[in-house]
Amino acid sequence: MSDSTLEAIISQEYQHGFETAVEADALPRGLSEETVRLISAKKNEPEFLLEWRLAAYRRWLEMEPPRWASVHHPPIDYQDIIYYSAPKSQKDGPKSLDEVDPELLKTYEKLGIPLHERAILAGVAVDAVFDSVSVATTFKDKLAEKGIIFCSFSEAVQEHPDLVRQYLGSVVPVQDNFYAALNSAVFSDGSFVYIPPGVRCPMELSTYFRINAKNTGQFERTLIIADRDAYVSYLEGCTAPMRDENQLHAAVVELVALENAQIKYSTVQNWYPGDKEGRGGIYNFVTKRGDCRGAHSKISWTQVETGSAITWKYPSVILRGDHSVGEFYSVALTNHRQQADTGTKMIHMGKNTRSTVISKGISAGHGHQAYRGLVRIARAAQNARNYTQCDSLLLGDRCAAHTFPYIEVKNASAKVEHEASTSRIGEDQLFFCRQRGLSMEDAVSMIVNGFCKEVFKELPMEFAVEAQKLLGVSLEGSVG
Amino acid sequence: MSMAIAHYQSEFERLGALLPWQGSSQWQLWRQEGLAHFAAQGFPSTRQEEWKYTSLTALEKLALSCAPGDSAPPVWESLEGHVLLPRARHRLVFVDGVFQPALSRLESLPPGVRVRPLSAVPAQDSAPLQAQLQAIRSRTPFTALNAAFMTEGVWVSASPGACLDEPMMVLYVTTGGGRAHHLVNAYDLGAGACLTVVEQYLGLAQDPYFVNQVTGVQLAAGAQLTHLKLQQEGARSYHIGALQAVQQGDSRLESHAFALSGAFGRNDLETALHEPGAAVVMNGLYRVNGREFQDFHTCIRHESPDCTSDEYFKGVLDGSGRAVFNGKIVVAQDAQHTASRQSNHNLLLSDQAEVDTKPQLEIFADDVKCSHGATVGQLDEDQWFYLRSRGLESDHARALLIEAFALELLSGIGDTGLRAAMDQLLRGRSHG
Repeated sequence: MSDSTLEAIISQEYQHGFETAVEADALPRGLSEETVRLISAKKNEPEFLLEWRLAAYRRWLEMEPPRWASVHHPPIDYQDIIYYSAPKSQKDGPKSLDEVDPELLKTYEKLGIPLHERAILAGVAVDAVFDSVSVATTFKDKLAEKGIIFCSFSEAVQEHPDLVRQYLGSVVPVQDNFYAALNSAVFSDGSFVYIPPGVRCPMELSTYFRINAKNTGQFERTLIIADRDAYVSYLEGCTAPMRDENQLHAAVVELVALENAQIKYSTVQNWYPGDKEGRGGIYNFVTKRGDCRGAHSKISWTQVETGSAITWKYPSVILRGDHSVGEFYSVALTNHRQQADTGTKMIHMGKNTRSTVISKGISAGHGHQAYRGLVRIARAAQNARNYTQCDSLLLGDRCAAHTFPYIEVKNASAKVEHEASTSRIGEDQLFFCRQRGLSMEDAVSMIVNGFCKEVFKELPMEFAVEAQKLLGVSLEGSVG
Repeated sequence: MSMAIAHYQSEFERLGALLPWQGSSQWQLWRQEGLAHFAAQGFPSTRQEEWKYTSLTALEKLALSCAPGDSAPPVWESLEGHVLLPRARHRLVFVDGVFQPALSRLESLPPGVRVRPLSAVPAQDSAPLQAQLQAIRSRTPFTALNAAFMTEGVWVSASPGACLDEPMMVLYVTTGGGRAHHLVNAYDLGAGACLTVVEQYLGLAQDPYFVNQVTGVQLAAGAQLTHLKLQQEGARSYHIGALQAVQQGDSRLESHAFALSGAFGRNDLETALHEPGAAVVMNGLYRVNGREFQDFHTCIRHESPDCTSDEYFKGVLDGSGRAVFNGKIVVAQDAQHTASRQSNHNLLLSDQAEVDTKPQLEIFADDVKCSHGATVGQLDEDQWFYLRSRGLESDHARALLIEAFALELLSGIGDTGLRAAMDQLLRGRSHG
């Protein structure tokens, strides 16, 4: 392949870069106790939540941003961020899609997510977060029939304050880390899911997050509770418009699985990664954690991370209940100047707990990538079992791939295995494909998809298709 | 300033004139720099990533004398039974940090091979040694402390092509407590030279003592060094060791580290594959029981293309023992065609034991094949049952399986005599 075509393909610009002109109701830049009070007041929150936010804010003031991750970025000015921005809207919010600002709907269309049609056709209920406030929620009735609560976080605060009060911060406490504390203080909105005992959620629940207004940090808060014997599969997908200034995104996701419950959480993250010189792009500093609180519960994280200038994300599982199961499947891709420091923590506390970690990293261009994981077997965790595999694929001689797996074992009945490998695409594999008439592009795409197959097969079907496409687009031409 | 730093500073003032080569201003500067470096860093805390699982609080509290011991050395007959290669024709013996000519012997060294205890090196000849130690790149607080106080050790240099075909023994015996021994071993091999050396650290003292040793290795093109380190330290001992090697083209380093006893052990093993074709084998075994603690931090730096590294560490943990393994492999940007393998397997035999392992890869080149693996597990029930069904008693069957697990590491030792001696040693302990 000639250098010029290669160059053309590598330098493909981000396809989802556009900005919707919607009037935003935003707070001025900066963060103070006053900002926290204002956000809380704007959302008409009960007293306990304001107190909780303020406690988080005070803790945050005492904390330092983490420095241990192998990512580099200029220091973030937390006073230069707009902490709240809601599309100016009808007082009581839209009742149906017809009432939704047509500009918003167009945005989704450009992204190939025709909200209602796709939702109906695919049987997906979509709680779309556009900037910071939920604008449309579908399939609510169908879910309500089964007693399932699926709504925006603000709505949950109004309608189900007891559930929120009981579970909020119970998995990720406010002081957990710098970004989680920040999120706890200023989170704007997010999703809330409650599956009552014995209910199997009949459809995949899905939220499309979309960062819109300029310079608006997004601080979503997601809380999913699966009560006894319940099951839910949740999809999260993201794209963001193009811009030149870095945007901070510090979300917190908390999952709680009670006895025999199962939660499957899938993410496809394709936020703006910055241009090929590393200008712009999203800073994605996310805290995601699941708590297998009941016996025989199961939490499974699947993620495909192709976007963001910097990703700092460790979806974790606390295996508290006996016989509980934790899973982590990840594909992370870094191209151009992207940096990703991602991995998982599996904390085994209950007896007979099991966990599986499969991580596939692909690094191209000047991309930097690190797998950072922790497997901890506590003293009381009899017969715990962990299997970890993390493989890296390197495309190009200026990229980097690191592995930092921490393994801490305090119980003699534990079986822990860790395997990792790093290599480039095999010349012989490429030759084999080329010899059978595949173009270089297709050959690379095929091999990379094969490399990621173990993770893709864990994704719900719609996501698997999207993920493969994403990977293909992001990678074409990286090997020549 | 912490008490510990103040203590070592006052020791430095007290001992001043007693340390070797006081006449040389270069060495004075060297020692002062070491002390300053140590004072600036102090004892590492568990908040530092490299010491995350390793607490030095107990060692920090000990006010140890840095002067060499002055008690009468034991007779050879009482030591012989403990020595790995008692019949080695080349051996240097140090007792409590003091060279013992009467216990040592150096028979007919081949031309070009020079073996000297540091105390036998006059100041005017010591410049090359300093140059070699200068090449040690990673300065920890303990290599700095060692630089300040180094009293004894061994300096082996081999001119190009010179080979010592039998293993050489370097034996460090500690008979008394209350002291810190700062020892240095330097191996400087010219092009194509070869050497096999065993460093054995034997603790006969029941009281706390501290061995802080540094081994520096320079391998010129095509040189080959087999280095076996054996730690059999005392029940209340502290042992902190560093091996730092720089390897030129097509050189080969085989490092075998066995930490078999001692209350506290920490080893930082590091090699830089500086020119194409260099190869390293880094193997190790740690065994802890009771309240023992062993920590191995290894770092292999692939700095050039076409180098290979092969690392294999095993751990056997019983009682309330704890062990840490941190294996780092760094592949630099242009170190293409690197082949690197690393494994760490741990056998956890007790619920009170704990292992923390972290195999770590940092890769900046794309045309590489690197893999690592780590496991923590127990004895195989089926294997145990097999042995039981053949009439072996439970304890015996268990011992046999543990032995087999550990003995596997010996297959990497090329020298048959050395391998046989290690084999005997490992079998001896697991039955006891």
